[in-house]
Amino acid sequence: MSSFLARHRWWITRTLVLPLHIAVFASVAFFLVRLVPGDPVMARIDASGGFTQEDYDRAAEQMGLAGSVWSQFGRFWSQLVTGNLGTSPVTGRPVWEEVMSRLPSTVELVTLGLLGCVALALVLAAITVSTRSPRLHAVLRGYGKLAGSVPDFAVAILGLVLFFVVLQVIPAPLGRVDPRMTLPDVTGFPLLDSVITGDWAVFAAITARYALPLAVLVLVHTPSLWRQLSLGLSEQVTASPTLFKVASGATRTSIHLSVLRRASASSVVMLGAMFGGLIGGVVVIEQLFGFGGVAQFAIGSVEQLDFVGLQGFLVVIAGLCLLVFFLVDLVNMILDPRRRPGVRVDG
Amino acid sequence: MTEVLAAVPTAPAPAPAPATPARPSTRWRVWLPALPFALLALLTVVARLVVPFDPETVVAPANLEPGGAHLFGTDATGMDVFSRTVAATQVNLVMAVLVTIMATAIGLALGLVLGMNEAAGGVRGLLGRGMNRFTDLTDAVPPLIVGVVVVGLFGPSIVSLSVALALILMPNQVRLTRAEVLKVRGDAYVDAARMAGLSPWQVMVRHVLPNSARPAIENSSNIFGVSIIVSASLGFLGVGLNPPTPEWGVMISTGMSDVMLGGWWTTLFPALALCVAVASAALLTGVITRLTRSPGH
Repeated sequence: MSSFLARHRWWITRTLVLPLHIAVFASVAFFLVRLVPGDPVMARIDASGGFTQEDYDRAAEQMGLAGSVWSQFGRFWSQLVTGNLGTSPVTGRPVWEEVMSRLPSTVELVTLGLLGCVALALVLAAITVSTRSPRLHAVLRGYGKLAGSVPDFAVAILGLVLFFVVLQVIPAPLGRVDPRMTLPDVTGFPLLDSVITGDWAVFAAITARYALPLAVLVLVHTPSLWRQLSLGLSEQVTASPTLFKVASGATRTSIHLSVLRRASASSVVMLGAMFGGLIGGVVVIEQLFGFGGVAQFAIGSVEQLDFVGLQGFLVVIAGLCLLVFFLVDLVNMILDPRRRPGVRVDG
Repeated sequence: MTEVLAAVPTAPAPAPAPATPARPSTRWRVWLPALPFALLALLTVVARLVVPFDPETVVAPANLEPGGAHLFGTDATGMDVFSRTVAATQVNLVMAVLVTIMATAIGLALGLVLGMNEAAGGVRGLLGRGMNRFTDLTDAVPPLIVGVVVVGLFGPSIVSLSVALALILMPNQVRLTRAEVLKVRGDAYVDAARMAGLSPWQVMVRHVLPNSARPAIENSSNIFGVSIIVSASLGFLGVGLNPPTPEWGVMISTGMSDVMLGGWWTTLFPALALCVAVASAALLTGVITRLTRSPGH
């Protein structure tokens, strides 16, 4: 039993820390939202004809702001442990439902974009490692520098002007599908749902509308991933483990996989960071193309002073990001056992 | 632009010109990528003086196509797009400068304090390590979301926007400085300074700080570029400065409805300006890195 624990300590401890991190974050989100200057309740109630203490209390109750900060904090936590994020006073629906009705579409877009980034980064890294043409390297480096330093939504606008206004080859940026179509709803992931229900008209419509935003995401965000990957590759390609593999007569595929495995640790970390950045950052692209995403709920909550909605949203997003970071750590510890805690490395 | 980008890294230092001394030509090559940024900085100072029209008032019929007196056309309210795009450099770049200075200054200070105290025993070390874990955790909230929340709740102004952005971008600077402090802390000259009787404060400020500031300072032009992007994104999302203040993000978002009707110019030009500004900050990063890494530094 104890040897089992010793061998598996690396992922068990990491797993146990995850809820702790989420808890810290939930508390931070709670207090961040309450740092707002002034009295949000006063901003909400109509004080022109005067108001009584009861009016004030009722408004505070509605906004989830009744009682002292600490009693609110207690209420927030006692709900949170049962998985309840509270009910939004603005929409009257549970915050969990509000967030979850929007989150899958954002996650789908980001995931597809990141998959594209990984594919392109692998291709580019393979080209840079296997060719020697200085001209080609210069062109690729130029792309890396230029694309890595340009905001994605500005590129998306250039794309819109070119493909929508001038060439007229893509549909108007007014949503995921034609306004006359209805999206099937099985899992909440639009593209996946269209495949599950076999609704190929919707699938084609979504694909046509995803093409430009995805191309932009991939083009703009690949360089940061590619940079990490080629750094790792150029280090590992001539490292002694590779030479040993070559000398011992391993197959080419096995050598390539081994190099990739040793070189990919920092790229995996980068991929996790990119996911975190894009979950929030993609909102600009979503707004540009008329996709309703999860961050639009946050913007709406801020505008409506919906504290319950806002803190719930922050908890879910931070939880999701922490979960991704957790997976990143696990993947890295699987790829490279030297990264596990308590493992001693010589040299 | 692509030519400049591609040409710089491929150019090896000794050019085939043995007659001329190598020094001035290499120096010229090193400084060249900083030129776009210098021009932008100059434009920031004189922007309001050189624009042909008042950027905040209606000066012509609405939706004029680019050309003639209105180089970039006019927007849906009849304001001159060229004047607004140029005048916006002031708002966007001044904000980026404020953000960069704040984020770097606070990042340096915090990184220094964290790095110096982390290994200490007792409450001090505990606090240091706790803060350190916390900086790592801040990664879990996407920067743009924090921006939306802070600006949305504290109200849009150049100050609140800058503070929000500085807070968002600071953890990176803290991390960079801290890592360097941990390296420098054990160096012989720090021990020597301590033994010479300098107070811990003096050791920290006079000896550790100058030797651990480099990564954060190199990264500051990066921060500059990111803060331009994030501030424009916030403007685009409608939590930035109020129109008619010329700001690229707001200009882009108000212009998007024109794009549907074929009026591409109100959106395209601020978007291009944004790209140019961010790209020139990226070029500057290259120059700074090269200068700080060059021998003799």
